[in-house]
Amino acid sequence: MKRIEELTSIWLDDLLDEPELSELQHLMTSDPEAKEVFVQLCDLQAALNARVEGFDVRNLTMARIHSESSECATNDEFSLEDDRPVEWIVLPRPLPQRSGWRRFGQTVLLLSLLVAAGIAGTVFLTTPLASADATIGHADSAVTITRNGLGRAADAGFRLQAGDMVNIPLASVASIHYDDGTRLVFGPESRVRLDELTRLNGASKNLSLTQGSLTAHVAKQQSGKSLFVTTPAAKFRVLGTRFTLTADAATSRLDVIEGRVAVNRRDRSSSVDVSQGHFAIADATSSLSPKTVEPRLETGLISLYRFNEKKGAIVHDVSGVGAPLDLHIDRPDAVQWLPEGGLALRDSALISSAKPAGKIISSCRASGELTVEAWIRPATASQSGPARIVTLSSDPSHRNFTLGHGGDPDDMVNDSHRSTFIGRVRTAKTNPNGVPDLPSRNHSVAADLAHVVYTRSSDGTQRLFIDGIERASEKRAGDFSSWSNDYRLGLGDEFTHDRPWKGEYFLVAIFGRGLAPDEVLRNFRAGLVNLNVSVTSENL
Amino acid sequence: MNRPTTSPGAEPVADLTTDELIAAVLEGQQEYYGEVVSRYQQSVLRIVAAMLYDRSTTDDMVQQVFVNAYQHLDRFEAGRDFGAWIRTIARNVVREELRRASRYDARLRVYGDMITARWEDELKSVEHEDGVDESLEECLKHLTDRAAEVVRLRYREGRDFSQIAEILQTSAGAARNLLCRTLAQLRECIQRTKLED
Repeated sequence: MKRIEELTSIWLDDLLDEPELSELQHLMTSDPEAKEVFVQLCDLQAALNARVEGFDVRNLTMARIHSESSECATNDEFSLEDDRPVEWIVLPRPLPQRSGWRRFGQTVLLLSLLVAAGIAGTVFLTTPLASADATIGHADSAVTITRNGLGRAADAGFRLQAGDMVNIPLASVASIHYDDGTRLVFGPESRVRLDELTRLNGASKNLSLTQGSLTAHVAKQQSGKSLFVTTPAAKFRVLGTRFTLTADAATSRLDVIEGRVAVNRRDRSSSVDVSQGHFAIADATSSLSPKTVEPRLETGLISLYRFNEKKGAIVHDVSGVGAPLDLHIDRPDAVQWLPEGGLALRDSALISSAKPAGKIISSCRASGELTVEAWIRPATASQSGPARIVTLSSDPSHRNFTLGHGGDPDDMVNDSHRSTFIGRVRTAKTNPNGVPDLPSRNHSVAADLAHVVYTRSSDGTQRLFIDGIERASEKRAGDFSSWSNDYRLGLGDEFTHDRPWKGEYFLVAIFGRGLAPDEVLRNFRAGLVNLNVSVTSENL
Repeated sequence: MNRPTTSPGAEPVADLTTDELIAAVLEGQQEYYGEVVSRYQQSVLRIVAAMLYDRSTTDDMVQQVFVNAYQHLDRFEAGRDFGAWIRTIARNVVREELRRASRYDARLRVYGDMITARWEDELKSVEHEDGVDESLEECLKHLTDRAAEVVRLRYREGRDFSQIAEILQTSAGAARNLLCRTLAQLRECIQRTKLED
């Protein structure tokens, strides 16, 4: 087979990388015969594309005609927002790859300069670029967007275009939301470029992760369309799934939480499909093959709830550690056991232990450490209270710890309905309510499956993780000597029934130690396959 | 959506000429346009397929061609060839899309320029497409069973490589390589057939 045939075929599948694109371009400009072969293969592809089985757009066309003739012309309202002028400022070339702290320092300095410069310039882009059908979901303040060498801060809601580069420095996180509901969350020290939408074979989402980490919740894609993620080592094709991806210049690791992802090594020497509960590493040496993810880490576990009961009013502690601390559902009519595993709180309900959580209290007090881990799906992104996901408390003002959702109604500054998770732990240095708490940033929660972990280690460091990525951390002194021995464990509400949380539980685990970030990531990667819970792709 | 089975004059809709169908649509009986779509969608697809897009995008574009035609139906002169008229609209839609898409891919521009030039001559264009289709039909008969299967799965059924790999019990990479080799064979066969003709 001729090289031009091979390259054209890969081009038609929209899988060419940059060096191959250049090679194809060179062949077509330097060799008339190659150009002829290219055109003939395109002709052949067009002829084959027209042989599709069962082609019939009659009903869809008529529905569209009915729809378009009855709709008001409101499109102008949308285009105004897309085309509005934005402030751009000349930035240096994309940050060079260097040590994290040096880069962080550079970014802080850069942003300081921008602030000092005030309105340094407004640039109106005159060349229309292709929409990437995506916006910045949320971004920490140091995150920047580079477009054509010009840069700006990444504001929530900012409309992205093909070619944009999003730079996420150390200690920062950013998310990109596609119009179809796909959410991509990028961890610290990530660099991502939204590649051009060639639309060949339906590559509706196309991005390059040159370094860093990505957690993806990919909405089910239309037939034949995919999300493509390219790293220096491999190209990943996704139809609708959840996965994490870490990449540097030499290695990429993919962990599939749910669904399936096709991986092609960039040198095209091998390809493999990676399914739920498996991971694959693409690098220069090892063979590209899916491996089973490591099992959940359970060292230091005290209580574990898997919500696999499927009926009844009791959620069993299946940790096997000490006497089970089973939980009772006070309003069975307000909950629904999910057929594939999990418990949905459709209305206010408190799921609580009948007696104080002695084994949790004694273990955490002894270690001075704590981890609360939950696989949940909030019914809504914004909740208020904070709504109690997991709590060891007695009332809204007294607790040992709480993993919550949303803001505080007593907050006089912010709206209490917030899309944020919070962690509270009472120490000798906090008030009895565990305040000040540790919140993730607003807009960091979606009404979607989430792995939320709140840890506190004996040196006073608290961390909050969402889907394996650290979203907040803070160090606060104090031990657990002020903890009460009388508090019970509760899920779904405060014991005074005035802080209800709505959503679905798939797992809750409590550890008597603070899990390290890599341990949190391991449990996230272990995902749902280790929970005996199946979440169908229709739910994505 | 209910399909009309009879004409305004109680004549079966399949027996109506395209001109009669269009006249009925212009008189306000929108539903008769569905029959027009059914009659010409395959020839529109053949033109839109030149964009080399995936099936759902191609479907969208074919629909768009018929929506555009519907919006300008009053400009169609009865007695003229509706097939030629709708193919012209289809080519305009594809030209516009090619202009937009080729901004991002110079290689698509090469192919786009070629087919745009070919479309300058309606007769030559149709002859070329018919020639490719006929040669392709013949060449497909000479493929091995496995090669024919991969073509069928990919193009007739619109499956992706991971699905094809499952069906053929191989890897996605192997399935892609098989298709790549098969396309090369088909291209050579079509060129040979054209030369012989």
